[in-house]
Amino acid sequence: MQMPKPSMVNYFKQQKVILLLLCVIIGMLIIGEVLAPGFSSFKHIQTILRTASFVGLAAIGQTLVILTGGIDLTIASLITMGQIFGCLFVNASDANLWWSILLILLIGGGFGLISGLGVSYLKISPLVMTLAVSSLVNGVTLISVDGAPKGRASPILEKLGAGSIAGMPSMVWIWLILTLLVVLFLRKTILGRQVYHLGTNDIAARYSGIRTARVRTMVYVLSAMFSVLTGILLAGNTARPFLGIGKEYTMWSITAVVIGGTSMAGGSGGYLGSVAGTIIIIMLEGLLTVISIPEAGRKIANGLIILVMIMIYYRQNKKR
Amino acid sequence: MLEKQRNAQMYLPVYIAAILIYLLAGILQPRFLSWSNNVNLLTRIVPLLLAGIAQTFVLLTGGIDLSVGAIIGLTNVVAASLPFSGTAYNIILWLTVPLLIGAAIGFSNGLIISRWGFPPFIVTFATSTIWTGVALLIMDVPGGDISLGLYRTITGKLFSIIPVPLLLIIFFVASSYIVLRYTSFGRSIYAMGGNKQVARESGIPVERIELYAYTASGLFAGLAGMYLSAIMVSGDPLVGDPYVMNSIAVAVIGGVALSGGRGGVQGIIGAAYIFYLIDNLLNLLGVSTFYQYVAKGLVIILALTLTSRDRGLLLSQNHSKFTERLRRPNTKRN
Amino acid sequence: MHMQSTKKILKMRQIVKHFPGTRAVDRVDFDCSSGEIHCLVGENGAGKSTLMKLLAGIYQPTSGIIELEGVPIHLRNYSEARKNGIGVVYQELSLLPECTIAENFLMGVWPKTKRGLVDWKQLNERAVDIMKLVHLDLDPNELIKGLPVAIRQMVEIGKVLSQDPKIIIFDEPTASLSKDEVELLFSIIRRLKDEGKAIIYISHRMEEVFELADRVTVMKDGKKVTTEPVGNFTEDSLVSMMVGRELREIFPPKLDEGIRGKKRFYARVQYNQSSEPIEFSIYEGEVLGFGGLQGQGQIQLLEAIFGLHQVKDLYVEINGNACVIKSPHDAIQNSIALIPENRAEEGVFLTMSVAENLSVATLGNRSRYGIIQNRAEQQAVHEMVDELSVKVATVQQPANSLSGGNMQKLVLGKWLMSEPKVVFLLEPTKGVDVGTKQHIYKLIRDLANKGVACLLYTSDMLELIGMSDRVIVMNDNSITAYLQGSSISEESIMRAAVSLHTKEENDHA
Repeated sequence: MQMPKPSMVNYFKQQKVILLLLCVIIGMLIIGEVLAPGFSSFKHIQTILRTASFVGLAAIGQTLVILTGGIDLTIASLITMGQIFGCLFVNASDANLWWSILLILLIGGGFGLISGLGVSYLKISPLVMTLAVSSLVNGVTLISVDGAPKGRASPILEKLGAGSIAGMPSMVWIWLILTLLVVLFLRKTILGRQVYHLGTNDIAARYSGIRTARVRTMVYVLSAMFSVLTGILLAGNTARPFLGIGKEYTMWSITAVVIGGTSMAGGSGGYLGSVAGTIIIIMLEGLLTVISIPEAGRKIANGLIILVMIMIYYRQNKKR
Repeated sequence: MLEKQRNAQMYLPVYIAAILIYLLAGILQPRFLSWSNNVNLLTRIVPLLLAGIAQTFVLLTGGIDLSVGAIIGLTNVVAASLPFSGTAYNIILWLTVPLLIGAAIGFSNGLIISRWGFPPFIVTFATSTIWTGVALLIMDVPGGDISLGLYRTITGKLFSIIPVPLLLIIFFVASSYIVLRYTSFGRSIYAMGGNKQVARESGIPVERIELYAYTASGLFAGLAGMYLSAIMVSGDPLVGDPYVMNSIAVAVIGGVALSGGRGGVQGIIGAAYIFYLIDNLLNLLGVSTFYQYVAKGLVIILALTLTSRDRGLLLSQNHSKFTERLRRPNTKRN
Repeated sequence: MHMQSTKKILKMRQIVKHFPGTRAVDRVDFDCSSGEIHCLVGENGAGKSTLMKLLAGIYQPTSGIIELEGVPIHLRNYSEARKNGIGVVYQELSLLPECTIAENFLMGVWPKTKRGLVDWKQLNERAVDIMKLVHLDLDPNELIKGLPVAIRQMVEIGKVLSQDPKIIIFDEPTASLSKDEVELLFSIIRRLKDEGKAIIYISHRMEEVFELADRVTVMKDGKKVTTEPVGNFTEDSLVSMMVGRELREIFPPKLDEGIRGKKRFYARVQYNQSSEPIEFSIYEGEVLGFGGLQGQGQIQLLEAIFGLHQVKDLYVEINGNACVIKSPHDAIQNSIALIPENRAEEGVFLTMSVAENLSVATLGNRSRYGIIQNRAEQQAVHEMVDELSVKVATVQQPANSLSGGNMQKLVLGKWLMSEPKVVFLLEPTKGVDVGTKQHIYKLIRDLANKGVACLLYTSDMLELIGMSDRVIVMNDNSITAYLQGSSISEESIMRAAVSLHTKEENDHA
């Protein structure tokens, strides 16, 4: 699978993209309000944000991985694992919560490590590597609960996943904090900067002394950890475990990242774009539901919006 | 290295592995070797095979087709929604309409990709949701109607001995092999997958070949959708979902390089067998089906590790630097 | 030697080719006859490859006329050139490794059976015939990827010949050939000449020129120096024609000759079991120049020391301390800096900002607990920008908005920030304007004066002579000369570069 060169082709200021996406969001809010009064009410926005937060968290890892020029297909399976293990370990008791989270993060990170090592050192394509690992993850999850997920979330977890704090859904707070952390990470830390260098020009990065294999591996580990975390929080949201709960998340996370303007070739974009992209997707779902368009129509709309966004972003790339 | 040798290296391991697993299953459970089980296996393999062939055409050009699943789903529900149920007209429509639709969608994918140069990953990713949506519009829950005659034909036997699925497998694999090996189109696919620029300079119409490759992919996906409709005697808009990733896995295990220009359909039967044999074997061993997932994941990783000398991945810059060294006159490679 | 037909099949008249910033080809007349072997010589950047690329349709002339058999032609691409009977033999570039020899020969024009399918039998038969043209006797089903480079070269030639061109251009074809294979190639070329083809042969190897040529054209700085029958030249006179020009640039003053300071740097590299180890040292205060024609192993050597390639044996000493280098990261930890040859691919992050580009190798210096200290970074970046006089409106602007010279300053700045003890500069002024060049020269000399071991590899002869206190010349992956002080001259360098027998060995590593 060949990707277009990152440099000349996909460069655009991230600010312009965010601005564009904000306009889209505002536009959708207006249209929504017109079609269904109350759409842009504070309460409804909160609902949208809470639903979006889970996808948004899933998009963190995907953004990081795509920034390095890769892709992460393990997100769905890891979210499911996080949710199932979350319920399993926590088992309705707050006392178990913190060590459960730690353990699950460790397990998830382990799978991320496998993906990362395969991609960085064995030079296996991220597409197929993460595909394979996701199969592994699914298997491990199923085997661990023998096909019958059990357990449930604890009160604190439910408060986080489904409850509110100070008038806003806790998930929105969590998303906010994590967004801040991720954006700071990408913009202000050495590692974050190195991720951009790696994705922009892998060779120059190596020549400049960046340990590209390590950075790349780390990115996959981080992505995996954010994915299982999302799963744990989802457990708080649904209280009980469900197999296959994570299924759509890989697709959504990729969509959010693409709409958010991060280039699939790596090196340009960022998490803010993915946040906007997430909100747009969820808002679109909401809009279409409100005007009673069936699931089918929503899917079509999703696909079309991606195509439209690529055309805008890649307009310069006329010649391959 | 002779082409024959390279091919043997590439394809034999798959078949050896497939045979070993098959024998292992047979030893563990003699019932496995029964005629009916084998026919069952053959019947189940067909759609994966077709999806794998579809993906192979595109992978060889250096691209990817994530819309394979969606096309299968769409053609599947179309096949199950055709009018004139119970008559010969229905059969004629069944034979033509889904195929045309599959090819048309593939053509549209190819058009966007070759004409505007958008990355195949995103384009087919986007179109896959679009066409799944359309499939859902046509039929939101599994249903529809297929003439029982079709079911009986597909699952029947020619001359009361040869199972139809076997014939289908032979026919489709053979014909795609012939196309890839013996037509200008096929050789051009290999050329452009090997090095687009060189292919272009040799006068090969690279954009057109790309267009046709995606069309072929859509066509084979359409065939899979049709077949599934006859087997299940109904339509299911989401039936194609697992086939997207499985088609890639099967192609890769069957020897196709993700970077393009290398591989073919010669290994695909073995690869598809391995896929289903793992399930079967585990079942026979009394092992929970969950281990399938683990096993499949490991098999893919194993297959990739063995062929990872192939530098094909998203990190194409390394590759281009390597070839850049070759471009400079007088440069010896270290 | 009697020329059977003096039909001038090719006439290139007053050809000019501009690239941004340079005149690669400056009003050159060139012609070639059927049945003639016309050698094209000149040093790097002389314009000979560009001239031939113009002929092959890869570039289009800015002005001037190309005439084939008296008819002016405009070639828009290589395909058109081929259709007009022009063939170019580079190295294996145009072969597909995963396809067979036969497929490669007839790429795109595979023979078909009556039913329209590819006729492999005929393909292979034709391949055997084509292979006969180049004295190859291989199974046409052999894949290219299994063939050694020399054979691939022959296949490449066969491919070109199979299209029956009237004019054949060979661009440094003997790089990877053994003596026997070179002889084989020559016999093929002579046969082609007898068949009435026009042969243009680019090479820097004097023995080859004198063995093959009917006429020789010397190019220098984009201009044609002369075109004469080969008998008019001796090796020496030919080399003299290739060099010899006025010093147009001013270089900072060099080290006094005779002074030899401490050994700052020592390296010994052995690529593999069968190759000779290469070793050299750099002394305090000196700028060591690496010369020779392009692609003779200079860059591979320096990259190997920098940890970019796996080699059998690498021993490096800096200021007397041995270092272990297995990757660029290690090299940088040991205070070695490498300014790469292709800044766009290897040195600069085009879509990232000037500040980010300057910072990348020294992020650790301006951060606490892994977090980059913004103020410290801005300060360091601005200081470097000022010191190097990089012309930018703001340090946030993307690197690809800079001119070539300024981009090169970015690369230099990146490394200067790391306060290296050893600096390898590979073609530091490639594509850089005159003013910036001066600046870079001064920078290099300043570094050397400060005690940094500076190694300069450049294919620009004048630059090499103007900057280097000592020169090591390489040809064919080995060192052919060590020159010092007054023995550094264009002639001595060129002679070593083309491996003429008299070498000056003033000093050893």
